[in-house]
Amino acid sequence: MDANMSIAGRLGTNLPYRISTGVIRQQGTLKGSEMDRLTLGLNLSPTFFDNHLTVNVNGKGTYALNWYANQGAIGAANHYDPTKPVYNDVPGANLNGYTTWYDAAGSINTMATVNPVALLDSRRDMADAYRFIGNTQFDYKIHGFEDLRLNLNLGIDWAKSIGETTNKQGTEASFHNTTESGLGSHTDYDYLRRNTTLEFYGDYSHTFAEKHFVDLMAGYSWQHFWSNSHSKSYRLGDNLNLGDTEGKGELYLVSFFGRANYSFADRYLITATLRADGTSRFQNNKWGVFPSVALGWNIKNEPFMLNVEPVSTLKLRLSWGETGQQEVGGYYETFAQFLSINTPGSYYFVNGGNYTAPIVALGYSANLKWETTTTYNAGMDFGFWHDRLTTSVDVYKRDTRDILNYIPVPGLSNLTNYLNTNIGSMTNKGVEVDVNAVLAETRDLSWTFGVNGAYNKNTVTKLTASDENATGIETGGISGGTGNNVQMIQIGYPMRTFYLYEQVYDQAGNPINGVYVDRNDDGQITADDRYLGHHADADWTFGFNTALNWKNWTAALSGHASLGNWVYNNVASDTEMLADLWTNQFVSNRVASAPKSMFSQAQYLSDYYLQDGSFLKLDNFTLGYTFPKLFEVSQDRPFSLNVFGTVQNICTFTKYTGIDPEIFGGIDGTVYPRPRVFILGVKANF
Amino acid sequence: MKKIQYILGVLALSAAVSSCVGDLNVTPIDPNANTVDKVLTDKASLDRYISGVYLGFATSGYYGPNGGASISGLDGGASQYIRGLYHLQELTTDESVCGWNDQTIKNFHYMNWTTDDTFIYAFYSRILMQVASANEFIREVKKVDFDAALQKRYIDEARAMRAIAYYHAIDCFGNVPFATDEDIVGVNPPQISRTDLFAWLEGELKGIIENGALPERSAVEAGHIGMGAVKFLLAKLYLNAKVYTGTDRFADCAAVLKDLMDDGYSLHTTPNGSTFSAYQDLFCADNDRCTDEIIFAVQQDGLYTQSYGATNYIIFASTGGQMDAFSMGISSGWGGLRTTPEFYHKFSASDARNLFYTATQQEDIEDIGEFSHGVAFMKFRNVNSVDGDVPNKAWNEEDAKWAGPSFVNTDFPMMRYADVLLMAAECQVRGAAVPGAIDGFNAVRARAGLAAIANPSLQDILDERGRELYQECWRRSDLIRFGQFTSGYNWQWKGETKDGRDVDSYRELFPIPDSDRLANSNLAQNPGY
Repeated sequence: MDANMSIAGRLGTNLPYRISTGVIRQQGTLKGSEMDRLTLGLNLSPTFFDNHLTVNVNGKGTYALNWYANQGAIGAANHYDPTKPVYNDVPGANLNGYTTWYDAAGSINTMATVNPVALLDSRRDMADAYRFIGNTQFDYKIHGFEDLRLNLNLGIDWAKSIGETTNKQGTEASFHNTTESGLGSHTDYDYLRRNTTLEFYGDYSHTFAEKHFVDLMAGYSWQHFWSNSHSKSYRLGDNLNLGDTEGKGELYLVSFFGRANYSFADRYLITATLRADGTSRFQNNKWGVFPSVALGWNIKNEPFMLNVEPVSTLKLRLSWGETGQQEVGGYYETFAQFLSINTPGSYYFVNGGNYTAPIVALGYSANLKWETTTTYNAGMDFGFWHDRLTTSVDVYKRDTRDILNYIPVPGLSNLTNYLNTNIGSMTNKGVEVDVNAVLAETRDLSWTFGVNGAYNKNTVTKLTASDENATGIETGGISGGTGNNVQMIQIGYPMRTFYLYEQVYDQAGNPINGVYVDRNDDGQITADDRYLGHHADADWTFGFNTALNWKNWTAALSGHASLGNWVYNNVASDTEMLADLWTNQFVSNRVASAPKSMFSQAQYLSDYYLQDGSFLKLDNFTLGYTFPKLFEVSQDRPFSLNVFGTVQNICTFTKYTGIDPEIFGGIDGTVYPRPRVFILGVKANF
Repeated sequence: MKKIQYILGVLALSAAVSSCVGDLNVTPIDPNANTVDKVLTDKASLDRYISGVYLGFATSGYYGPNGGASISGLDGGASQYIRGLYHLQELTTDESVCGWNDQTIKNFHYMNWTTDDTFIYAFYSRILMQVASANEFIREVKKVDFDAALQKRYIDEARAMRAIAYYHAIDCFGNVPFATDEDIVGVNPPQISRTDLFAWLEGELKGIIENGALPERSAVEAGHIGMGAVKFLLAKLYLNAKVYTGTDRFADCAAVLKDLMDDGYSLHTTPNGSTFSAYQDLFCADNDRCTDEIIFAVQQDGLYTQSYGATNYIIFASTGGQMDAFSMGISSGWGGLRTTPEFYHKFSASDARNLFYTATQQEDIEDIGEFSHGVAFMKFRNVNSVDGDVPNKAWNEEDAKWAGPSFVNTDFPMMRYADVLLMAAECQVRGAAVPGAIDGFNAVRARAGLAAIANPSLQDILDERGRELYQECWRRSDLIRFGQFTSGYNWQWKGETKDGRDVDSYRELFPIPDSDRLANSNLAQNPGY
């Protein structure tokens, strides 16, 4: 349930206000998950000094009560023996009457899948969340020099949540938990976040001699991200301390930026920007400097085009620019950090009741630096028949250097085996086309149709983190087994290229368990037989939307499609092996595709699990009717009502056999389908 | 007036801007993870830091048994040091099979592991992590000055831990990446040859002994490494020198053992209580009492030092089927580890070390995945030797019975005096005299209730080592040294055939894992792979 209301008005002559409020209650798909949220927003935008000073004050506060269900129930439902009843029929049975796996000796089988309903029932997890987002903006036009504008923006995003989790005593899940051993546990946690920003800029714009438009802007911004979290757990049965942790960190971002715009007669446009961005995340390489230049030619405004009737828009755009990326990992990855362990279970020198809480050295990347992308772009915009048909075409090349990625580091070179590192360079080349048409436009009927298509080719051009003659960098960790990676980053190939063994099939077309093609013909199957094959990211992506209005009726449909994206079906690869059907004295349910592969053992690195994930999706359909004037609230204030129905996530056309082929990164571990949502809504305006 | 306001505004603004740029110079504010100057501040922090290096042998990570594995990308349990050592040293031999479907776990026993085996990669990474952790300790502790004598001792303890890790590296992988505290973090290490690593280890261990900073037996604090452990390791290195370098060094081995035999260690021959024999005491929950015989052990504790590896793995994985988990001192078994009939038949019924569960088991392993095939181990237990009680047991109301805990107190005895006596006897038989070596050998037999052998053969030595030290992670090295690992002796399911078969001799070394060769092109693969 979702209800919103807003009131807008004006106090006196120059204090417009807007107050909004909303309540929402959302129940999750899992039993017991729920969010209740109350929102209150206030917006004031007074003006002073004859409109020279504009102040915009925004504040939004929310309170939410969240009930979280045990997400483990999803996986458990997938693996649990489907022939077992939820409750056993033994009167007065243990474990709240839920069906449970026992081992041959009569103890609870702690390796078995936990009863998913029992799992939902065994945990209580709730949190109160408070959030305030506020910002105040002052915009001042200098008295007597109104072309110069000074703008100051102050913002805060404050959030706090306080929660507690209880794993109930004497439940199957608690017996499976080795630190609880059936005694249950209780955790109190809290989280506080405070992000503040300050931005200031001056902007001068003036048109000289009616044709020369100049806009100069310079400013700086300062951002501070700060957070602090605590968590304290104890065992319920005997109050044993299970750990007391605190995490605290902060990040500063500081930028100086400038922009110069010049246009002549609305025909020739030039924009140049320069920004210097500083981050506290990279202590030894804090600053990145990123320039850009863009040229525009509004051909339609040339005298010779003015009378070319069907053409209403014609623009040429050329640009070159650099952008930076620093968002990677934690706040302190360049520091050699020493962790003070605070968790029982990881203590040492235990002697009687005495113990030592160890300090350990953590891995770090001292030389992390900005990832920089240089983009070259050329584009044309077309418009015909008063822009009833508009088209834009862009071709681009993006060179990214010092790519930030989380990769395995050579043994003994650091104090961990995985780190965030600048790994090398890549290039993206592509074309984007966008077409929008107004197919009909009359008093009663309007119909628009828009479609876009894009092609992108990604190639790794340089690797600096590993040696030049190395095979590449492993990536794409999967679940199942330990430490399996199914992708490789290698020069000359796209970033997420799958690196697997080639499956051998029998005459009936069924895969043969553990038999792969000896691609290098050395008579044995070794890691050298793995090959760089398909890649995860799409070659082609498309989107479309259409809207039809007839009298008071509206209808809209949208969808998107993708070609050439390949998906590794991790759900199938992890739940098909038949050896696990009955192991350790419990049944572990297999996915329905298991009888097709008939793999006795898991074949995680077989390209059998790599599938073409190309798809077409219909995303959204809305049908609505508006009653423009049900009655009049007062004179000239009609009460209008809009009634609509929406379906989200309508259907997907694909050959992919998993739940959903639209997976960023191409590794599909989803056992939880994206919900199809039906919405009925009413909007009132008065 | 307005002008002044503008000027003040501009001044205030530039002050704000410069302080904002200064904000970028941060230092961590996390109270639990901070820079060395804030963490290493006094003598107590030195104790905490050295315990962190020891922790690398004992747990998978830093946040209890489940959380924060210090090796990413690998299951916390499977990446634990001693569990990895067990995989490589025991599952590959006649002593142990594992029946699980965990990926490639059976390939150890089948002797057909591949270069991308994740269990091999896990142990390899763990060894190198331990070296890196010791290197960092030495680097940092050299820089501070709180207590010169203690720092000297702790640096030598870290050197000894690094030597243990490098010993496992030379034994299992031979030619490995190499770095010391002289090297810096962030550089791809070069590969060292097995022969060069031998020379380095020999010099390093001798250096620690000469340095004299480590305490002798009686002064070793619980959990710490003393001088005895360093001598033990040097003896092991010499004992296997022929395997590592092609040249035998039994005379040097004998000299070190003679020295170690004068250090006050002795066989534990008087039982701590009435439930278990003296031999069993060494593998009980309170085996930290046996400081007479145990030279160095990796600690475990049911409440404070928990892992899914080390002795916790050995005891839980050895328990299964119809075995009574509570009598082993644990909550319930994982049902994985058993032994082959070839190994079981080396024990006579009267041998005090014949600690196997046979009741509902068959000796013959027809199906490696079936726990009841092959007799099961009952050597390690989480039961106190003093009173026969199970530590951290809990009364289960619903079943009205006691339940064992999920984590054990039993320490993993990595170095024992019985091994010293057996090494001495081996040197003697191989022609490097150690006074009293044969008496020592027979003292080990006598404790087990076996008659003395006046002139033991090499096979007698190997068999005695097997009976005395099974599940203690020496078997693969011993079989290789005696020429019985890849050929010359077969057992069930070796080479993936029921009755066992010879395999290629290159399998005496494990491969350098693919993952690391991809990341570090300095590394050449071991021959044969």
